[in-house]
Amino acid sequence: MTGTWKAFTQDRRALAEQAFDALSTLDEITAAMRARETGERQVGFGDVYAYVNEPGRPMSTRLREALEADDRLRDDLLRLLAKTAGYRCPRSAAAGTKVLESRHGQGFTIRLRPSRAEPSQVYVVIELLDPAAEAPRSLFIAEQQDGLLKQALPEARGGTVQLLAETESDLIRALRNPRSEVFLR
Amino acid sequence: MHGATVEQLDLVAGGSPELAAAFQTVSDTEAQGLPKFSPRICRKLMHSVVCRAYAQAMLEVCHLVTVAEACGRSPRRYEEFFWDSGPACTAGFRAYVDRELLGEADAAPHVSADYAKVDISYDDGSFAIAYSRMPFLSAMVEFLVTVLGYGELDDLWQTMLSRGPTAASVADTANRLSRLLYGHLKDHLTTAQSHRKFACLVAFLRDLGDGDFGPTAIEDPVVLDFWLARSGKNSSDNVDFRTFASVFRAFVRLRQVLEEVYDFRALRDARPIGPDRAAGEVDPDSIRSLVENIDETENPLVVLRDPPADAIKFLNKTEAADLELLIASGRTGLALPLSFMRCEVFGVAQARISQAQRRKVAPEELRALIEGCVHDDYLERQSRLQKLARHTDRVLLASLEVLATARRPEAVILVAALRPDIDLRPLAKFLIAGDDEGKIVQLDSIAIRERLIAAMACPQTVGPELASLMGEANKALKSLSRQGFGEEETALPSAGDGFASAAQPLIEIRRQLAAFRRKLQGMKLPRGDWEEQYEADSEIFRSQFLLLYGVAA
Amino acid sequence: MTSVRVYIATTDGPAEVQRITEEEPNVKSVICLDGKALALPISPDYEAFVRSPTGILERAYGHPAYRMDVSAAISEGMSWQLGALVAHALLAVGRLAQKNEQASQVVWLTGEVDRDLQILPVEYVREKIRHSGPLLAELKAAKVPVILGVPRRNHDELDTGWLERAGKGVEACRIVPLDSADQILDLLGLAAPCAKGPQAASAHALPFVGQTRPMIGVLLGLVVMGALLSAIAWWGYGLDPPVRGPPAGRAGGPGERKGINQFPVAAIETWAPRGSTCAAVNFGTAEAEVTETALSEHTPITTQGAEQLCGLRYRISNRGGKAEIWIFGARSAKGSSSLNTKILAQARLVDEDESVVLDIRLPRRLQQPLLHRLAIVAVRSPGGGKGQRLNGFITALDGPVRPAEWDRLLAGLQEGSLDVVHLTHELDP
Repeated sequence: MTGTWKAFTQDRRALAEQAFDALSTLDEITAAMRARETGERQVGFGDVYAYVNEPGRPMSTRLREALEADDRLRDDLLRLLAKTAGYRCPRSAAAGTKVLESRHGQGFTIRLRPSRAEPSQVYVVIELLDPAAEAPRSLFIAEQQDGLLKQALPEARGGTVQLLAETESDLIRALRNPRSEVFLR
Repeated sequence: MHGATVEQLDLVAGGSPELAAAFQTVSDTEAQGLPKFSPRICRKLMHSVVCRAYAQAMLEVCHLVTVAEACGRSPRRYEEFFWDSGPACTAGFRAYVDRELLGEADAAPHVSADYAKVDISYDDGSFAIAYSRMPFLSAMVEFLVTVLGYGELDDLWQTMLSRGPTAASVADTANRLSRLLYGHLKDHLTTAQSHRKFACLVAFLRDLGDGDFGPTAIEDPVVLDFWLARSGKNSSDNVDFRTFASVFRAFVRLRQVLEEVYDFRALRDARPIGPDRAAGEVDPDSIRSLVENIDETENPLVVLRDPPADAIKFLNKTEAADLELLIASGRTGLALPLSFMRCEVFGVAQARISQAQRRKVAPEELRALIEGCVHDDYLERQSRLQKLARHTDRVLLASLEVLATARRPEAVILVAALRPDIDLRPLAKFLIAGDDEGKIVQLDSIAIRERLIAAMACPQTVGPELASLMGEANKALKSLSRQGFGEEETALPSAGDGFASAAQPLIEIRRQLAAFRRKLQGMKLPRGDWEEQYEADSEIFRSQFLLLYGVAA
Repeated sequence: MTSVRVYIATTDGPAEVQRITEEEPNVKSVICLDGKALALPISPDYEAFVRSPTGILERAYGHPAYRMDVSAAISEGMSWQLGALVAHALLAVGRLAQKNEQASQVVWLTGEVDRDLQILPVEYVREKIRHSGPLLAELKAAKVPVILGVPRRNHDELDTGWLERAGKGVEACRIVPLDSADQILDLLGLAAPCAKGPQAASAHALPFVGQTRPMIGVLLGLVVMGALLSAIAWWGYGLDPPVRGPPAGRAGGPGERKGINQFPVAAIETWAPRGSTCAAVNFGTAEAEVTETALSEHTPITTQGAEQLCGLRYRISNRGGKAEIWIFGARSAKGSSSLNTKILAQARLVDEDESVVLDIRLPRRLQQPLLHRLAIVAVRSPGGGKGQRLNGFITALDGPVRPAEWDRLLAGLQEGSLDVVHLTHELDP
C-alpha cells in the first residue's frame, strides 16, 4: 500500500527526507570507494598494531608514508608502543651532545661494546635484570626528528640478548643519541 | 584521520572524502592476510554511521572493551582482542574468549560466557553481548580508531577501566564516545546538499502532479524530463544533476523511500529527539531501520563477495559490474525499465565523456567522443543480460551438482528453483516411509530431505525429469573452468559451504534477471521498438551532451 | 712450524675458519660470516661450547668470549664443534692459518664433541664430502696435504669404493676415522685440552651427557608422546584448562563418592536451528541450539541424528577432592572388534568442582553409528603402586585393543585402587 505526498504526516515527510539523504550519501560513498578499488589499500591502525606487535614485520613503504603524512598516526604508534613495551628507556634527562655507550631503563641495561676483531663493529648487549621475565623480541628506537627504527631481537640467553652491528649503522647511531627513546617489547 | 590518500577519493557530496576514506580503511583492514571485515559488516557499519544511529553500538562497544580487557594479557589487553584475534567473525571471537578468558580460571570473575554470548556483571547491573554482534562492534572500533585516533579512545577507555568499570561508568563513557563521534561527523557528514536534492525532486514532482504525487508518479518520462530540465542548469544550489545516472539513482532512491515510508511501522514507536521533532528531526534508529529495509534486502552480490562464497568465482568482475545497477535498483528498476536501459547505455557513455573532460581533452576530441560515445545499443545491452541469465543458470546447475554430491540440503532448494514444476512423484517411494500410496512429498523433514538428496544421486530411481536435470548439472560443472569449480576444489570439505551460501543469492539474481527481461520484452515503448527507441534517444542524449559539455555547434 | 687451515664441513660446502679473536669477556661468543656484522644463528650454541661451566674452550684456553669468522654460513646442527675445537687448539699455539695466510696443511672436519672429547656421529657426511669436491681438487692441485676427519661410525658407513674413485683415502687426502678429538690433535702435533670439567656441566651444551632417566620414564614418555600425537591427529580434540564450576550440592565428603558420582560427564551438543546449517552457525548467521546430556556409566547414551551435529564437547567435572586426572578415549564404528585408544588428558591436576572440557572434532560425514568410549582415571594420592599400574595400562594401549581387552584393562586399574569412570556415548547418523 502506498500513499501520496500530501497524505504523509510531517513525521513521515521528515523520515522520507532523511532516509533519502542517508541513502544518497551511502551511494556516493560506495561509488567513491568502488572508484578506487583497484588502488592500494588504505593504511589503518591495524597496520600500526601489526608493525608494533610482529617482531619480523618490517615497516612497509605505505606505512612509512602514512606516518610521515599523519602526525596523529605517528602519535598513536608511539602511544601503543609505550603502552605495550615491556621495557622502556626514556630520553636522557641531561641530554647534551655527548653520545651514550650504555642506556639504563627499569629492569634492563643496554651496553655498547666495540668488537676487538672488527673495530668498525659494535656488540649491543641487552641485559635483563630479571632473567626469568619474558624476553623482548623487538627493539624500537624513536628519535625526535627522524622516524622510528625497529630491530628484531635474537632469542635471549640467560637474560641477555646480544646483537652485532656496524658502528656507523642507524641502529648504533640512534642508540647513542641521548635524545632517542628506546622501547623493548 | 588515518589514511593518507583521501585525495584519491572523488569528492563525496553528503559525506566528506575523509569519511569515505575512513570506511575504505575499515574495508581494507586485513588480519592474517585476509580481509578482517566482511562486506556485509562494512555495509552495516556505514548504515549506522550515515544514519547517525550509533548510540546503542557505542554502549555495546564500551561494554565489549571491558570484556576485551578481561581477556587480554597485560600489557596490551583490549587491543589484543580487537587487533590480534584474526578476521572478525562470530566463531573467531567465541574461540578467542574461550581460550583467553574461560581458559584462565578466575581471570575475570565478573565476565562469564556461554555458547552464544558473553555476560558482564557489574556492581550496579549487568550486560550481555552476543558473539554474533562482535564482528560489527569490532568494525565500529576500527572505524572509531580511524576517525578519532587511538590516543583519544585509549584515554577514554583507560579512564573507564582504571576505576573499575560499573554499568553507570560504562554508559557514561559510551555517551562521551557518542559525543566525540558526533563532533567528528558534524564536519564530515553534511546533509545540506542531499536535502536540497530531495527538495528539488519533490518540487518537480509536485509541479507535475498539481501539488501532490505518489511513488508511482516516478516513471520513465519523468526521469528523462527532469534530467533534460535540470542537467544544464548552473548548480548555484550546489546540487549536481548533471549526469543521467545520478538522476536515475536519485529517482530510484526517492521511489524506494516513498514506497517504504508509508508502511513504515517503526515510526510510530520512534522516540522523538527532544524539541527538535517539530523541526523535522527523526529518531536515527528509525532512519537506519528504513534504510536497512531498502538497502539491505540482502543484496545478493554482497553475499557472493562475503566468505565463504567469495572463494568461488560465480561471477567475474565484468559480470558483477553488469548486474550492479540492476540489483541495486531492485524492484524499483522494474518500474523504470527504459530509464534503466538509458542509464546502462547513455549513462555509461556520459561517464566516459566526463572522464575525458576531466582529462581536459581538446573540444574537437570531446565532440568526436560524444558522437561515438555509445558502445552498446539497447539490443546489445539486452543480449548481454541474456548471456548473464544463461551464465547464472549454468552456475546454478553446477552448484546443484556440487551440493547434491555433498548431500547438502540446499540442493533441494536449487531443484525447486531450477525446475519448479518438476514431477517428484517417482521419488515418493523414497520419501514416505511406510506409505506405498504416498503422493505427498514432505520436504520439511530432515530425514526425508536427506533421503531425497541421496536418491538424487541415482538417476535410475529419480524419474526422467530429475535424472535429466542432474545430468545437466553434471555437464554444467564440467564446463566451468573458473576458480572454485575444479574437481579438486569442489572435493574440498569447505567447498560445500561456499556453494550452499551462494545458492539463495544466485537464485535471487536469476529471479531479478528473469523479471527484468520479461519486463523489457513486454513493455510498450514510446517509439514502437527498441531500435527506433535507441535512434530517438541517441538524438536526445547527443544534443544534451553537446550542450552540457560546451561543444554545441 | 706448519700453519694449518681448518675447514668445517657443511652440506652446502666447506666453511673456512678465517679468524678467531678474543672478545671482551662480557660479550657472548659469536660465529660471524666473513667479517660482517652478522652473527650466525648457531652463535648461542658456540657460546655454550665456549663458556664455562658448560663449554670446554674457556676451561682449555682460559678466555670466555670469542668471535670466530667463517667463510660460509653454517646454519644448524653441532657438527661444527670438532672443527671449532681444532681451530682453537691451533690458535692457542699460533698455528691457525687465518684468512689469506699460507697454509701447509688443511684439515677438513665434521663431528660433534662431547665433554670427554669423544666424537659423536653426525649426518650427511657423504654429501659434505661431495660438496667439498672443488676445494679438495684445488688443494690437490696446489699439493697441500688434506686430512678429512670424520666420526668413526660415519667412516664405517662410507662406501670405500666410492671414496677411492673420488680420490679420497690416498696419502695426500687422508680420511681419518675419529673416536676422540685427541686423535686429530695428535696427528697435528697438538696437546689435547683438559676436557673433563666439573660435574655441573649440563646437557644443554654437549649432547648425551649427564642426565639419565630411568628407562621406564623414557618409555612412558615416548608412549605418551606417541599417543598424544595420534590423539591430535585422530580425535582433533582441544583440551580446555580446568574451569571452575558451581559448587555441587552434595551429601557427603569426597571419600564417599564413587564412579560417575565423583566425575559427572556431560555431552554438550551444538545443533543448527531447524532450517539452517552448521555453516550458518559457524559464520554467526544462525544461532546454535545447545543441548546438554548427562552420560551414564551403566546405560550407554545415544545421540540420534548426529549427522546434523555441529559441535560436541564433553565436560568432565570433578566432584571428588583434588586429583590428577588422566582421560583416555577411543572412537570406533559400532560393532568394531578393534579400538585405537588415545590419551586425551594426561596428569591434569584438577581441583574439586573444577571441570575439564574436551572439544571433539566430528567426522565430516557420519554414515554409520559411532561409539565414543571415555575412561577417566583419577589418582587422588600417590603411592600404592598406582603409577606403575597406570604405566602398565598406558603401555598396554600402545596399539589396537579389542573392546573386551579395554574393559579388562580398566577393571584391572580399578582393582589397583585407582578411581576409574568408564562411559560410552553412541552417535547415530
